Amino acid sequence: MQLIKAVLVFGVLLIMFIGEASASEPFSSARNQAMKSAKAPLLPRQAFNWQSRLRRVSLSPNGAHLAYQVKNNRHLQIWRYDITGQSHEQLMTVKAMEEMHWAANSEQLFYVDSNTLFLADMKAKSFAEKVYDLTDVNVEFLRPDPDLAEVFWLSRYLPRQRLYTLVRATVDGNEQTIISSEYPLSGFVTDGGELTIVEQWVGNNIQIGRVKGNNVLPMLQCVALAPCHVHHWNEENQRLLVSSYFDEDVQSLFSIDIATGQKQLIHQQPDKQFDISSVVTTLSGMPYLVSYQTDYAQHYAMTSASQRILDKVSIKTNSRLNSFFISKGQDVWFIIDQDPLHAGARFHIYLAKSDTWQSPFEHFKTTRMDQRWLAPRVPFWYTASDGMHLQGYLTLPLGAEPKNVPLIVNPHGGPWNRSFGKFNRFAQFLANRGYAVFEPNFRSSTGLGRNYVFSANKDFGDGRVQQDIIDGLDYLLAAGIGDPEQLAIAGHSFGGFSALAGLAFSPNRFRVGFAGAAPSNLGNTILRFSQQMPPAMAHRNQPRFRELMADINDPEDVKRLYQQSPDMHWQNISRPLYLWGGEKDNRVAIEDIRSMALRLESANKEVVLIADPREGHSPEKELAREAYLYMLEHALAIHLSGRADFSVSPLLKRYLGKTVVIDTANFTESINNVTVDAVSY
Amino acid sequence: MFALFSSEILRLRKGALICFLGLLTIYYMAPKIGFWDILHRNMGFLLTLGFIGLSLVFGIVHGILWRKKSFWVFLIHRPLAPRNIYLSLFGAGSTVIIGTVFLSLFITLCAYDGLTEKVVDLRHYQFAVYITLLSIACYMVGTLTVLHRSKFVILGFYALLTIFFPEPQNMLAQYAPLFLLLAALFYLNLQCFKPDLNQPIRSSLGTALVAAGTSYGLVVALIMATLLIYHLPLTIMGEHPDMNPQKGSMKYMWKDSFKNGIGYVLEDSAHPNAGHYARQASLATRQNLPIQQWQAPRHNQLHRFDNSDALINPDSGDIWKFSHDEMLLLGVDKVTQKSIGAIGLNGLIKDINDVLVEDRFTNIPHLSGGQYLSTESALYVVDFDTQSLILKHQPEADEYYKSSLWVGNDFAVISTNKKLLMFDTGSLQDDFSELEVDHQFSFPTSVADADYAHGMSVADGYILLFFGDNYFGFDRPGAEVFVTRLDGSSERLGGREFSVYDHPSWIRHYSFMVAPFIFVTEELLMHSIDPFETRYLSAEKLKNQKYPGQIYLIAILLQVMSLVALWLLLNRKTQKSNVRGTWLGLGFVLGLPALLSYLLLESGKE
Repeated sequence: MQLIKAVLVFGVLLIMFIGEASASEPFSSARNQAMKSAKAPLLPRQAFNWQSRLRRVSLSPNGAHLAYQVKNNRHLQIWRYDITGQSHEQLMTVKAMEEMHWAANSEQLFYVDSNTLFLADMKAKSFAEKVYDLTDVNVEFLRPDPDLAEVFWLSRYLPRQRLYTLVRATVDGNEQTIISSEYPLSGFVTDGGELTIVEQWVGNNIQIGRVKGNNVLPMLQCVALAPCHVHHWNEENQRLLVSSYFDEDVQSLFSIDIATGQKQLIHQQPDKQFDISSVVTTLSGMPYLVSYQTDYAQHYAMTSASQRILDKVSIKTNSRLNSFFISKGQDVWFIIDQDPLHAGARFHIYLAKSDTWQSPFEHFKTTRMDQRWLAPRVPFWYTASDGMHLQGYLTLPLGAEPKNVPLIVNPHGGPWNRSFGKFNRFAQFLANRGYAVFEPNFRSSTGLGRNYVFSANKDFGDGRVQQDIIDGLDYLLAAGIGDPEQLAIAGHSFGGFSALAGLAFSPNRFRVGFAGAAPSNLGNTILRFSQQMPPAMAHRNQPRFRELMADINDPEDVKRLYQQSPDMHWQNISRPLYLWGGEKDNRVAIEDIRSMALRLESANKEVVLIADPREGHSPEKELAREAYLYMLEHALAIHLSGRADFSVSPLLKRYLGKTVVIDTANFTESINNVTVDAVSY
Repeated sequence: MFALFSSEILRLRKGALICFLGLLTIYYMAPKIGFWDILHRNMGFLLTLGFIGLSLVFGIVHGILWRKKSFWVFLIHRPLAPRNIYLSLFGAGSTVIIGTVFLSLFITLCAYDGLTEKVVDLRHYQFAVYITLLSIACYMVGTLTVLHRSKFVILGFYALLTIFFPEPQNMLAQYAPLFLLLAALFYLNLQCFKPDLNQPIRSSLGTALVAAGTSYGLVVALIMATLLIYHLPLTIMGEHPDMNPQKGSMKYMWKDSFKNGIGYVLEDSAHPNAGHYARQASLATRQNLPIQQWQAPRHNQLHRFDNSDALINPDSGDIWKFSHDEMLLLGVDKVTQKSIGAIGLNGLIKDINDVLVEDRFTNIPHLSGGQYLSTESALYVVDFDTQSLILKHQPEADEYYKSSLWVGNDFAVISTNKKLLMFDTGSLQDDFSELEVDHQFSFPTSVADADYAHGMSVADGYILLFFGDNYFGFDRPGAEVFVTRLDGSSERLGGREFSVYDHPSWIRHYSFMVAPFIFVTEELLMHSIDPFETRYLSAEKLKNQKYPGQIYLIAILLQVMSLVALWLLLNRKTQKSNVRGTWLGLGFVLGLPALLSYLLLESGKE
């Protein structure tokens, strides 16, 4: 009996120990690394504000070339990398390039610059021509045809007839309307330049239909908010390769027999936690590689050939976060390694036929951060107060005991977005200043299953979503991460809304808040967003707003959202608030941000507002980005026990003098008075 | 003499007083009702134009009053020489002009200067003097028209306009022609003021001056005649070259709204990418480019020649005007009209008394685009929020801006003596970004004679088109096309000499053909006043103009035939030998205009 008791007690203790150990497991390595490492020197803001000259890279369909952009002052150079000859050649310089797509022949490149579609010859220097004028807001360039070199696809909305059309156009100016429908298009599949499958928004559903002549024959329907996406249509055996949810919680890969309606699950993330993020198929439409954005990234080979390559890639890069771009023949893989252990991305090419590797961009500096001072960043899962399992990331500053450091909550924007496992410059910036950084993937975050999104239940502001953030914070504090008296909340866009909500609904929790481009009432923001969107695009977001946030046509629903918004409860805000807004922001009105700041100012509360007349939803120009970081580190250092680089260039000083429009916290005054590294942690 | 002067003043006093008070009221009320004050460049222009017309009318009316039969008898029977009578009357008329035009402007300027913070410089007072002198000159044209036996002498008014329009390069160019005209008009009025007004002017100088003035005016009438004999008939028939450009001509570039303009110029180009760029250009929008030399703003220039009146803060409406006396931008609050300081080379100076020498501009800047200042050596932008002056761009050490800054929708353009520089308008307007040159095109020597240039945005840069009537030499119209890219490279794509002329040679060279001497002297006079205006030809350019043989032939024939006709006409009348000799001399030099002048001024008035 004694033995049994002893065994039981031992068992209980063992379970408790294992439980405790597993609870702290996500942080143990990061904690150890943080504590064992020397304190990082105060790195200059420029190290975090700096952007690599190397921008977008694209592999040609035949795997012979890479097209890539190099930022050169205000312009973009287009370069071509010849994979066979391993040589780089600059082809031309352009002002801007919003999109970049190889044509089917792998010899030309479609790109969009200032509402114009251009076609660049990638064999010749400086040889690009205007192909299509895209200034009409009802016209949208979709993509080049994957089979015919000189064909590209456009969508055009005809406002008078209220018709959505799919247009096949050629570079010599010919156009042909292929589909004209009252239903908006969400996707399409072509074969040999002919349209075979269309995906259309029909009410709250996505309808997939087969194109026969001028008719669309419906084949499959999915809920719009849990959509299906066709990867391949096999005419012979009448099977669709589709990624969707159907009865699953996570988006998975299915093969569907259209005749019988039978669905065959082809692949799903083994833990059933993450949605599928990309599918590569062979030329015959067979699945080749399936990828998931998990805590980091997971890739699953669907053929023995892809498995062989995946194994080689795994050994070569030893990375937890690779992205793959694969040639049509699957013989050339372009790999972007964004493992958070490395400050900048690394690029590799694997040539399957010769079993050789290339690293074409070694000559490009992709970061200015010293690898030695990289703060550890780990994913973790926690249980919310209502029992839901939620995911987030934690970054710890080097050379400090995690329980003593100030903790910054950094909710992501969206809200239909998520924090990813890759290197995060913003979190590294805060960690370098001495803060632990918590990035919660609260409910409504995407990529973590349907329930993760829907269970937010429109409960933004003083509700479930904000509680998820607070629950995550409590979890970390309970796990010995962060000083409970040294908390702040900082975010951009929806993250800024969460920061406002944090100060309004947990008024004594955070010592300071920082909100960039922050809506204070989501109802106003989605209304503005809907009104400003061209009619042709409106269908894309309105169902999501209606089902997941509020129906802007329903006054009661709008009122509900307002009543639980920081806009209504602004008077609860008692801690200093730092705001940033772009006057050209077409999503969050600067008037809303200014209104919040003015109310706080009139109530003698500490508030600072930077309103940049040149910027939109996010600071894009280098100086604006620096000012953003400066205000953030300044605010945190003044109100928490962190540190900051208080040095201000004359240009930054003039910028702040011009853009700080509300300041009751002596922000601008203190610029001249504070000395460098005034506070240490 | 003084009694006559006094009585004439008394006669005009009521009208003068009404004019004086009316002008003061206009100057006072204009800004109150949202119109410009007299310190505004537009008002400077309107006042100049208005006073020219009014003074001419006043001169005519005043002359008609003298010529009233009873008054004329009263005048000429005064115990005074006609010269003294005229002096008394002219004195009265001039006093009225001074008492109205000058005094009203002067009082208003003094009031602005003493009672407000508006920028009143010495040049504004100088404007009052200049405009008064110009008004007196116009007044004398009016009195001369009445006093001379032929009313066609009013054609000499054109001479006044020729010196009014060009922008004088210096004070000498501004005042010398005016003083010469004043002297000539005064002399002519004296000559014409005689008991019998039907008698011709007896002096050679008087005859020459009247005839020359009329001849210059007649050339305009001769040019206008081409409307009747060429342009109008062809337009009515629908065959005017402007409407029917012929292939091979320069006008053909604009066929179908320039759709294939570049393709047309590059038709025979051997450049491998000529066709590609021609297609690209057909999809692009055109923008004018400033390639002509500009006249930099001159110290103490008349304010009507200012390119822009002031810089205005778009947010507050505060007005920043450049003071030639202080060499600073002086700010005035829109609401309170109080001084808000000065902006100099080192930014804002709150109190004008604190200005240092190094704060002051050394050259008069050219104001443009609402917030830009450019001198020949620097381009600045005013940051109204921080009230500072930011140096945006400077040409290279051996360069200077030869044009003003043109701010377009997408691109801002400025020319140096060596290059065409194009900037993105966004970066120009960004107070915090350094201005980077997007496109930089070094002018090849071949474009030196281009009259115009256009730019067209294409995928990787800009297509530049230079063209002109004398592109490949005098009367050899042509065009050249270049491409300049964002990576800094440029190349010539091709060119074309337009072998087919839009108009026949007698129309193209009409001014020279009908009046060679007047054409040449007028061009030289205008060029000496305003050497930067390319419409006016320099001596060197005139020397290099080689006209077609038939033009010389017709010009000589016209000249000889006019002289012969004039000689025959003079023979039919009894003329004093000196006058006869003068007319023959005029006919020899001026040709056809002299003959026409004689017909208008002397014929049938024996």
